[in-house]
Amino acid sequence: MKDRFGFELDNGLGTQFWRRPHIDRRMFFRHMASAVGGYMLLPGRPGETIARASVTTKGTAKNVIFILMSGGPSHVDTFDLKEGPWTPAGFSPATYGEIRWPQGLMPNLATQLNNVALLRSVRSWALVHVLARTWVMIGRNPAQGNARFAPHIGSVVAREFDNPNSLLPAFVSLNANNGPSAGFLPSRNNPFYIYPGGGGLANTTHSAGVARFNQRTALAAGIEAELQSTDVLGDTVNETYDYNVAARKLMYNSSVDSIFAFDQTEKNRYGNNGFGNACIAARRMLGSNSGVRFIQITQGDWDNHEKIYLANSGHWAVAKQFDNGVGTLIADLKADGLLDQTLIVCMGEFGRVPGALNSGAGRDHYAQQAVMMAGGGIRGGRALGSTDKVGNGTLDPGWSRGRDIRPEDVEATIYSALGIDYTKELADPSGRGFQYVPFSDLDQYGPINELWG
Amino acid sequence: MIVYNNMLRLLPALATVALLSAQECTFKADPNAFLERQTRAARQVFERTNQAVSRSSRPGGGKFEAVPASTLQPRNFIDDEIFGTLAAKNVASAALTTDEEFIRRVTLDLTGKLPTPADIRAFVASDSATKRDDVIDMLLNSSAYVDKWTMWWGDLLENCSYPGLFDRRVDGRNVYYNYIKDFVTKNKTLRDVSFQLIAGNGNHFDVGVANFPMTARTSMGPNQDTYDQGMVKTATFFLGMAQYDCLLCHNGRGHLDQINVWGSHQTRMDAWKMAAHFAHLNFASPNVPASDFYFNSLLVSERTTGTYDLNTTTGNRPARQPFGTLKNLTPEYRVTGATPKDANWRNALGNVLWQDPMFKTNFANRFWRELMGMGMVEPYDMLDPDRLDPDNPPDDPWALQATHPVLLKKLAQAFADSDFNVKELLRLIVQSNAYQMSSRYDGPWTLDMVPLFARHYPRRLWAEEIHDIIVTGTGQFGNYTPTRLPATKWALQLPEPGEPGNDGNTANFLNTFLRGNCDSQQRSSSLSILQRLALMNDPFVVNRTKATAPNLAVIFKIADNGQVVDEIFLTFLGRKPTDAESQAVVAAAAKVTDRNAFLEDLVWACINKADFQFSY
Repeated sequence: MKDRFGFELDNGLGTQFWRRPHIDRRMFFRHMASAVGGYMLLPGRPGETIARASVTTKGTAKNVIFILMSGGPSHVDTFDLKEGPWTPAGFSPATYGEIRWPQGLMPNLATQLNNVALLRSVRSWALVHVLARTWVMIGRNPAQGNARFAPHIGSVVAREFDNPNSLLPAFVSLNANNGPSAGFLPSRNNPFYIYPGGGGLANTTHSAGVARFNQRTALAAGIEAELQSTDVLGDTVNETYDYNVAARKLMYNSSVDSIFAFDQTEKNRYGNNGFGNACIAARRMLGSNSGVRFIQITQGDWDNHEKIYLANSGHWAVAKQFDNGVGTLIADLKADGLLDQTLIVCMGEFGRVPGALNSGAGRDHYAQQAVMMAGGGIRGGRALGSTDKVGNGTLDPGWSRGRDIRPEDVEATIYSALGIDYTKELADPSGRGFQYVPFSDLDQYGPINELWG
Repeated sequence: MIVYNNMLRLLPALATVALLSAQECTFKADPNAFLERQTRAARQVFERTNQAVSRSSRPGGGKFEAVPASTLQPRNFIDDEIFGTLAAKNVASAALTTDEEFIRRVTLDLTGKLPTPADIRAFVASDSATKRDDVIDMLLNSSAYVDKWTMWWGDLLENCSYPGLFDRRVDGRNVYYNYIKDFVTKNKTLRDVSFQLIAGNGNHFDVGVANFPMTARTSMGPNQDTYDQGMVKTATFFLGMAQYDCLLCHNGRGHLDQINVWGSHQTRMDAWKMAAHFAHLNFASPNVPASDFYFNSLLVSERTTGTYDLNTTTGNRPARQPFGTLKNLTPEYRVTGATPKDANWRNALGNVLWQDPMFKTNFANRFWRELMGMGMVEPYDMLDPDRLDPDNPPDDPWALQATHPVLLKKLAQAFADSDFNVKELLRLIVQSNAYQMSSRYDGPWTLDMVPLFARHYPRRLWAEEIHDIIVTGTGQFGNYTPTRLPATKWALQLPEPGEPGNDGNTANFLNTFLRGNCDSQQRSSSLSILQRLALMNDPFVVNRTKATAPNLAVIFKIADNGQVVDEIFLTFLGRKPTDAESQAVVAAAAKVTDRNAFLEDLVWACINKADFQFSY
């Protein structure tokens, strides 16, 4: 089938991200019904489910850890290793079943590859950092008008699973303090930003002391009583009180401390750096029934345009950090019995130019990329899809759709793993309807079920 | 879905028509989802206020009376419309604000700051009949007004160093910021401002207005994507018509039918002809070595030749292909069909844009929204030209888009008649009794009352406003040094949300209150647990709530206990304590021995009070 521009729809190897399928029967029904039936008058509210296709989800995972490898990791130096004259000797590539792996660069993960599945036929839609990064976090084109209120994937997960009575909100974002948020979803579904440092959760102790804090809150309650009881400002005020309760629940709370307070020995196990600390906190949040279901960890410094292989810097440093943190995390989650219910997804916004290095001995942005997944009920020890000799493009997509994997497909995979109907559509502020995975009702994007195969 | 399947079986003949008009689009037109945004905005406002049931049965209730609309004297045509509608619907309005409520609200809304205790006392004590108009005049001419509205424009024009689609860089940001600050300071007519921005040329590190065309820059696609983006930004910012983003991919029919009457009969060709105004836009890199200051700058200019060509198959939007023999488009303005007289096509656009009725309507609605808590039209950037004129209403089942169509038309006209004078527009709004109504409401409050503006709707303060209230009240300032701009102690003087780069803790504190990024994330009024934790425990607050903080040291010296409590309330909450609050303070004070420590606690309690975070 060709679309109106003559492109084969079935073989979506193009790079034009505006390319979308032809209007199909279902879409057509909608237009027709609206034109004639006056459906614009139907009541509805933002956030209400208004449609869903009937799809089967996997539902094998309870939690997700999404590791954003910010900057764009070189796929040919990590998850889709391509050896050539450029490859540093220290990579010491070795073969583990289906997987060729830079054992010298990432020794910890080398021992966990039986839990890991690599996706090698992945292609980004864009090569600009913020745009492409936002794309993988919201699972759709950020240049669209409705991206203004499109929620983060984690916010959608929070909408599905958040329990207001839990210790922490369902969506926690580590080592970041801004980015895509709940969009049009309730504020409770916003990412809860934390920089774990081992010293407890920030702003959950009062520097003037707990006695003083209690004294202050008592006074505050005293002067608040009138406003609180008379409600003159309406729900805005009530909302403040609810959030105060949630905030105070986190203060001087041993459960919180047991998650966010950890010692140097523990830090050292994970590499003794900010990323490792985030991995520690992620493990503990999931292990403590805290209510957290989606954790994003942002790891920077993958953007190596120059001197990518310089010893102890560039790619080496960031990959070692990644390896130490994620390698230990997978092992620990496995030991905790949590790995099978926790899907770990590691990806950047795009890949890097394969083959020989550029004139600055680095690698520039490139659409082909690779994704690492582990846990959550998927079958490890495998690489799905393959690229050509240097990693320029996909040779074998390695999954049923027979085309490159896109961020939207990764998004669908995450929802399916969690048992969320990824075709669900909510009423949104534009009146157009917000679909969890865009065009999934048209079956344009969908989960990579082969991960479970 | 079942419904639609059944519908289709009834309508086979119409199928082909819809199929032809619908092109692929990432905006999903789903009629089943359709609910006018106006209704949504009203519901959101309602949900913010719906707890205000009759308080006669509650402690402290009955203090504020709703009053019949007819008893409030109109102050200008805004009141004629607002109170006229209320009277016609037999809905009572809220009472007028007290003087204390009014000066707090109007000072926050116009300048982002709280009035000083001395200002509040003097204002309340004054028996001048014109004192409200006088304070409005004073605020509109203050330097704080410039700071707040420079920031507002920075949000609207999306001035930041590193947006997602291109690099403006710090030096582009700085000259853009300076340009905005200058036109706000001089209160330049928006007729000139819009022209200068759209027609802006020059090196974008040197010339502020060259930074508006920079906003068009779109990576990963042909030049036409950049022309389209220029039109989308122009239409969204200046006309309130973000639907150009839709129309530049596909015809309105089959997509906008349920959303926008005007858009539904627009074609992609119509939109292309608008975008063609940017088809002479040119960016060139200066020929300088990498070490040169201008190395990363761009020279924005207008070519003398070129057309909007229908010859693309890649990029950010669907393919542009010839229509028969038509393959090179030249500009044609919407509705009027005006075409440029010479090769400077952006000049031509700048010359006609402000004469578009949507220009005045857009700004009337945007500024109304900013001050009244809700636009007369929501969403404010999806104005429907075919549903705005009360003298020419749309066919059934459509209704006029504005809550008060006559008022919006009059307000827009008044704005145009003042030669697009923003200060006069703001003055008109805040002088009205409609603006000066209390946010407190006695009696039942229902969803259908929201569009009537029968009470004032509280606004959650901006991150920068919260910051400035805390540093002003405690007198303990930071020193922020935005790159290559003058140092400042005010958050409202920061040029973009990426600052202050030299004070990460303060930047984090500000980010917690969701100031957006002037690009992919808009400023948000959402609340979060982190905000409550920050106000309770962040060093930014706790280290300032100390008797040693310069201004607190002065306040705490007031010997009289009643007076010192008043002063603290005035300083941090912009009002005196109520009787009940005073009693709560006295009761708590009875148990303490350390006066300063108690007063520190009181400052902290005020900052953590629910109403602290609002203009109400």
